[in-house]
Amino acid sequence: MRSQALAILWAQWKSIRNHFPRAGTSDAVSIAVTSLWYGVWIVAAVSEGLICAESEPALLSRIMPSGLMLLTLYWQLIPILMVSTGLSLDLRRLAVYPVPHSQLFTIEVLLRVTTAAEMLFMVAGAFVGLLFNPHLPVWCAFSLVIYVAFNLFLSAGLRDLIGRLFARKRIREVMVFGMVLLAAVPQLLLRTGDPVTLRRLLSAQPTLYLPWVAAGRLATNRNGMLPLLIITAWTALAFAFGRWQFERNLRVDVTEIQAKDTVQSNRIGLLERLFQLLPKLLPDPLGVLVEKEMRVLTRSARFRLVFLMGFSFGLLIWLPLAFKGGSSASSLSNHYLTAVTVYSVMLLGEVCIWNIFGFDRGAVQLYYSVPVPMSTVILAKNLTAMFFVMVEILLIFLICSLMRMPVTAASLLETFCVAMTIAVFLLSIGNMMSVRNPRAVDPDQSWRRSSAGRVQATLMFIYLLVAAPIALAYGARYAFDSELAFYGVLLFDLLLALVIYWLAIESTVQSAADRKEFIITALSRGEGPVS
Amino acid sequence: MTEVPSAIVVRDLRKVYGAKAAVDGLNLIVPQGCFFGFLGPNGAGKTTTIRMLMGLAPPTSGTIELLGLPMPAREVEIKTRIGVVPDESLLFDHLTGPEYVEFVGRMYRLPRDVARERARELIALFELDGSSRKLIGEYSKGMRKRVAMAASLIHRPQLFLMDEPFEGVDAVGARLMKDILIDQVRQGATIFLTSHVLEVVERLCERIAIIHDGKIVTEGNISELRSGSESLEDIFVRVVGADRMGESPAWL
Repeated sequence: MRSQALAILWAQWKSIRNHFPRAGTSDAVSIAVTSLWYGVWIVAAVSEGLICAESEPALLSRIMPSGLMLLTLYWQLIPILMVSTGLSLDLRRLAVYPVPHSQLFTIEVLLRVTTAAEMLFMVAGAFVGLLFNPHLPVWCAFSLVIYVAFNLFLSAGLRDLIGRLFARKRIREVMVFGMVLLAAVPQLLLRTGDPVTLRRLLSAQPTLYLPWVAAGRLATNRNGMLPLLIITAWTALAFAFGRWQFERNLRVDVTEIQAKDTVQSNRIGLLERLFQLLPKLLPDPLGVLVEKEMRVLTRSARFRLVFLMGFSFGLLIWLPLAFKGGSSASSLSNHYLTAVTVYSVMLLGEVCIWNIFGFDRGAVQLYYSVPVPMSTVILAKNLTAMFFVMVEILLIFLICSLMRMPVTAASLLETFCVAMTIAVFLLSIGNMMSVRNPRAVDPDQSWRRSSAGRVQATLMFIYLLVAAPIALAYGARYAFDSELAFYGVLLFDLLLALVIYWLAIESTVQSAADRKEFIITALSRGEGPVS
Repeated sequence: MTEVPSAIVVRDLRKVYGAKAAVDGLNLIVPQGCFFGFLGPNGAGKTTTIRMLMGLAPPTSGTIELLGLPMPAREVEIKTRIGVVPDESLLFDHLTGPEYVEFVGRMYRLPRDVARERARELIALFELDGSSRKLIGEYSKGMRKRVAMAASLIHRPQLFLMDEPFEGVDAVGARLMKDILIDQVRQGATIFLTSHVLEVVERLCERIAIIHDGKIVTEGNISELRSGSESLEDIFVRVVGADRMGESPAWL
């Protein structure tokens, strides 16, 4: 690697090292959760390594293609579902220096490892296993290296392509519409199509021309040199795709895209009227703060992406699970609306719950200099979050009704009560986290930069905590076979959540006053060359 | 008499954002060794022009040549020979001043020990050595400008592109920066800067251009542009048509 690439990595290392002594306790919790998450994957990788080391090649050649396909799906799909693409070069800051694009691309590709580091552990496990398998030559293990390269290039290209498409307003909406249609396909096929043909199609012998099949066969020394040619061709294609998309991204002028969007949005008055609806019901300064929040959030590429994906991808991922058959699936299909809503609240959390001052950056100074209590500012932010959660529920309900899914007024009521209770719990925790660990967020950056796995782990931890009282309500319904018991416990949960919220607000306001200087400084700070 | 080669040649440069042309058919020649001031009211197209010169934004149409080389065809070669003081948001807030300057030196391919030594000297020259363990994120606006200018000098560039280098800098800091820049011009470097501080431009720049609504409205030596005892501020206000003050609201 050349000197400039090393300088970028050195600066990034320094940035991380400089940041950590100043990090708070929430970072320590995050590190603990991350360690636990990756620990589980390391155990899985070691088990996989043992299987690869002791199995017969015939068995390995049967299971390897499926395993590699799952690896690719995880590597490419999970970051999209979590709206989280891992670390990436900040090209805006590096563009002024004389660095050849090929070097920047090399670093960018290496950073794609961070989108799904879990998969790298799994590949490493398989690699060591194959290396020690007495029935296979040593070179078989190295075929996995080609497969990793294929995934890295593909991931780089997809990230750049999707990121750019989502930056453009109209294309983003078309893409989301396409995703919703895609979500409807399995439902449509299961309800109206011929399931036998579908089943036959899915169970057909995998073709050697697919990258995971070719890589799997090569790793188990099957089919001669043909798999090597195929996987090399796929890797070359992925490289060309990744490089092409990277070059296009380097040439993109975000200001130009935003200007075009502004011209288009000037013609839309409907959203403007919607923004004024809720604030009109509230007295100033609460009203004006809610109006400001709504405007800022809906103008942020990051918020729009998360909001749109909440209902579109929510439907997409839960649909096959809900309708695949079996008792657990039927239970899920009964609570389909609630499941999708909880997923969308989880996504919305990142933009309007966990770091409520993230988009304010310099504007946070205004909150400290105008004669408005901080509790009013936080309340305005929380009311806006609740408003968007409600809009999300209604949208999901509307789409489910259009798709003729089994959703009823009762399920809407249940979803509404569960989502509101969860949201109040989350807002209580979120408010405290927002003042203890504030981070500036670029509202124009559609994708989250942290690793999808780490995000999953942190959210999982918080959700387990918040899900406990909700699970009690479902437990009461199951135990007493009574809706009254369910709603009774849920009402108790909501009251508990409100008490916690009230106590948390006091603590948050106190922290916001005590940590004024820290909050202002932290929010005005940018990141390193890799962010 | 030999003709002075050009450091910057811009022909018919246009940058369109949506329906608005931020830069509209700009033509500009800056001779080598010149201290050139690029002025204009807010939103006139100064930053867009300098961003295109730095290679941060592709032009919609038109051509740019820096130090005789076409941009972006020979982008890497050009960037090696220019020093930039960009918008301060492009600094890395989690680095200390010396670390940032060393980083920039290494990005210009200076050997690591040379970059470190020069960074130390530049930090001392710009009087930032008292805050050498402070992160840039904790710097004041003036300190951020000073560290950005220190970094722009580390590879001895032939051409400097500076976007508002004196914004938020106190009188002592500004004096220090001006002295360093004058010294660079004496040594043959070219400086192209945008600024709102007209007194600084008047004292430093031999030539100026004023841009308004994306178009150059006047260009030349300050002495040539003056009529009578006009100051640069008078010229500026006159050419951008800002001398007609609007009526204030009654409540104000």
